[in-house]
Amino acid sequence: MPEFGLVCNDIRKKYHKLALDLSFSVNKGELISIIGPSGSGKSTILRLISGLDTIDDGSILIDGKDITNLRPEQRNTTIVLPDYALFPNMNVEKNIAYPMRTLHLSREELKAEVRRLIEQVNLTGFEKRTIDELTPMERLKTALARALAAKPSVLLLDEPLSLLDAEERLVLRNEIKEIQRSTGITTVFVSNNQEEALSIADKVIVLRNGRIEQMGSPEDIYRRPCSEFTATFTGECNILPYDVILKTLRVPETERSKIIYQCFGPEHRLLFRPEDMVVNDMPGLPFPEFFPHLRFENAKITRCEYLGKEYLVTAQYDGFTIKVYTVYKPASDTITAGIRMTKILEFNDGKLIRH
Amino acid sequence: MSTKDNFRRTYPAIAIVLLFILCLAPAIMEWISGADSVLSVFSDIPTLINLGNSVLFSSLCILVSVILGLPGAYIMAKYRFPLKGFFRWVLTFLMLIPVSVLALSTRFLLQKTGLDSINPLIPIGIVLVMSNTPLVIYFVGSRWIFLDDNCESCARSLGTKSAKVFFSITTPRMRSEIAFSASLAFIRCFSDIASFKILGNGSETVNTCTFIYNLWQSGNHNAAQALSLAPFVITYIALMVMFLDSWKDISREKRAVVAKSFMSKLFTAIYLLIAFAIFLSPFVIFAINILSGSTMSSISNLFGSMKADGTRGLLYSAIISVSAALICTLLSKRLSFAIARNGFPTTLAFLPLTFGAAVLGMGFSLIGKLLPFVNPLILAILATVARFIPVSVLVLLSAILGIPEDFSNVSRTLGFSARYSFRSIDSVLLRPSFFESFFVVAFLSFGEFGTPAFLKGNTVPTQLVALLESGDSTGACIMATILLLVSIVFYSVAYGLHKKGTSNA
Repeated sequence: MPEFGLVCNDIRKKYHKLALDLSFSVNKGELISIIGPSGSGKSTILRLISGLDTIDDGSILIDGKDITNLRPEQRNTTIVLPDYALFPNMNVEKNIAYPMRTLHLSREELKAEVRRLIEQVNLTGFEKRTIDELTPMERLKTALARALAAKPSVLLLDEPLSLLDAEERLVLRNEIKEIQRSTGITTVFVSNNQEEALSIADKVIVLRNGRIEQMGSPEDIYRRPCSEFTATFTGECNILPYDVILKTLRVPETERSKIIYQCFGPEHRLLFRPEDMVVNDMPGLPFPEFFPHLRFENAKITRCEYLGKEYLVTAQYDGFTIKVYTVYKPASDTITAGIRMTKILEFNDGKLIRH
Repeated sequence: MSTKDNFRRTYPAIAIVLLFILCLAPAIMEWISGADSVLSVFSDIPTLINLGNSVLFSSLCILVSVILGLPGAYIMAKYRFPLKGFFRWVLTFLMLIPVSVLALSTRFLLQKTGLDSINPLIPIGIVLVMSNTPLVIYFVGSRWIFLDDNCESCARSLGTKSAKVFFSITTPRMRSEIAFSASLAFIRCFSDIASFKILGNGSETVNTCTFIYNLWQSGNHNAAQALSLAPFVITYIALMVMFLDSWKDISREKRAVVAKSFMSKLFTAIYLLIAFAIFLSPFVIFAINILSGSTMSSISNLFGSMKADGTRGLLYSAIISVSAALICTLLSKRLSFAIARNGFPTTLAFLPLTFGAAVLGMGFSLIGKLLPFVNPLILAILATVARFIPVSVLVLLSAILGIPEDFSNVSRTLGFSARYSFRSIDSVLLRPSFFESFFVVAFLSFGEFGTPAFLKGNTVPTQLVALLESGDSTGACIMATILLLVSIVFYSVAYGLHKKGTSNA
């Protein structure tokens, strides 16, 4: 049975218009990502865990110890805030050494520990720099080192990559994951970037209006979203009404009625990801005949967005809008695309009922 | 459920309690003992006319100050020009310099030009406008810097003329700052005593506060105490106007510098020339007086042959100003913390403004009578503390608001108590503003006339007025020189610290 590093038990908090009400647990040494729209309560959860805000009801346990009524300084959690809150009256070295003031280390021990942390976050040579002299990436590294210096049981990262550019985000998210693995610190990572959250986490929580919409592995969240909200929030998807089947289904005639009337109900909606679609963007070439599938024959292209490595094509087919990725720019104003029935998720009233 | 956080409650508690004691104790004592005379004082028609005239005169001065100050504020916020730093220095200095020095300079100017027979209200008005226009420029201008120009640019791109944009878009957005500075200036004008004493031709021209002072000096204590209710109520209304709007709608994101047309450059140059001439004139007049033979010889013997009273006045002023500055700053740090971090109402921290020199001076004088064993110097220090707490809060509050609470929050999650976090991070960042507050209060209390005058205190400004009333204008000039020199030194230090404090925040 796994040991829990963090347990949030029925925690409730009313905060302006937000009513937070959730329970979750994180295994010791695990990294959990929290994603959700703005105002869903992501950062509030971190403030509650760290004790900077108090909960109205429920309990929080860290390494099995109830810390609900403890002050922030007694909880052994550290937080890295979006602007990093580095102390401007101290240089890099002093910022990192700050949490060690309580440890009563000798000067040599303190220096050695600071050096170790600086090397761990690849900040060698920046020891004497003031905060003003650092780039956002270096600031984040300093904030991380300072947080690690406190030897926390739980590390809380509140949108730490939000100030960085795309390339730096990629580098830093790998570094964060690496540091987390090597130190084994239970980590909660709040992000406004779904791709980043899915790539870094062992487990993901999708938050909506202060409640957990879904919690699971990144693959589960993306491939088996429990609701239309999770599906659309975690990436591009096509959501079509049930009657699209009647017009697009390609299946031997003998199996047609079985699929239509036994698999899907008329009140249901169908959801599939654009990257799961098979595309034939070269007119004249035969479309691959895989069965059973939905085929959108000669759908009229209404928009074609270049995303760098591929195109996102939006097309209209008999009143339905579909989105599909293509490697090459479509040569004509129509496109034919198909999706296997096995890749289609079925939703009723916004909730997953079959996949 | 809640985590216990006593620091937030206990840290400012002592300052809040002392604030109320320092303000309410003298006021209540005074009004209780003057209660018998309230009806007779407020049914006296000339007194009421004087009250109405005082309000009208102060309002007129403020109106002129705002009209003159707004373009200055705009220029200071949006334009770069040579000597801007020096101009800002002069501006803030004039805002804080003792009114008695300005009034004395104006009196010399009138004597030299033979205009001393004109209606005293004109020079008094000029002094008050000169003292309060920089205040409007300072407060409105310092907020104007942070007002982003997007709305104005948008209105211009929609075809609106720049003048109309200024009056219909920009000025309404600055409403709260204009109200704040105008109300503060009104309180200063309405409660001013020094300029009326120096320029008012004896008791011929008086405002309500000077009238109260004269009543008190003539031994009519009950009437003075009863009448002190009036300035309290009027300044309280001004205080309410001061905080009508909050400053929070001002975006701090952008500092815009507007594109300069030829006409705007010309206007700026003319405005600055006039302003420089007006603002520097007291110093020029003063220098002429100091350089005149009799004053120079008196100054050269300042510390050698100065009368015992003069030396004592200097010593008392120094003790009062340093002690009051220290106590004020210590209390204000806690009060500013309460406002910035606990949501303590700013209006309450500014409460002493409503009591003014008259109420505080008389109140502490009554406490002195009740507790004869208390040294009058201590009472003078306490009265000065009560009087200048708002100034100190103003300095420290802007600094503490500029320091994100996240520093303390992060420090707490790193294992440190709220008290230690505040001490090791916020307090260090606040240090320049702490010293700035000390020097500003020291400099203001050194030049304070009202409070020590009611307490029959022997300080430099009270001696200045007394010497002038006895016809010794050379002695008065020496006192004013001392005031000016001390002010320049204290102010220069405070100005330097202000820059450092602003960069920290």
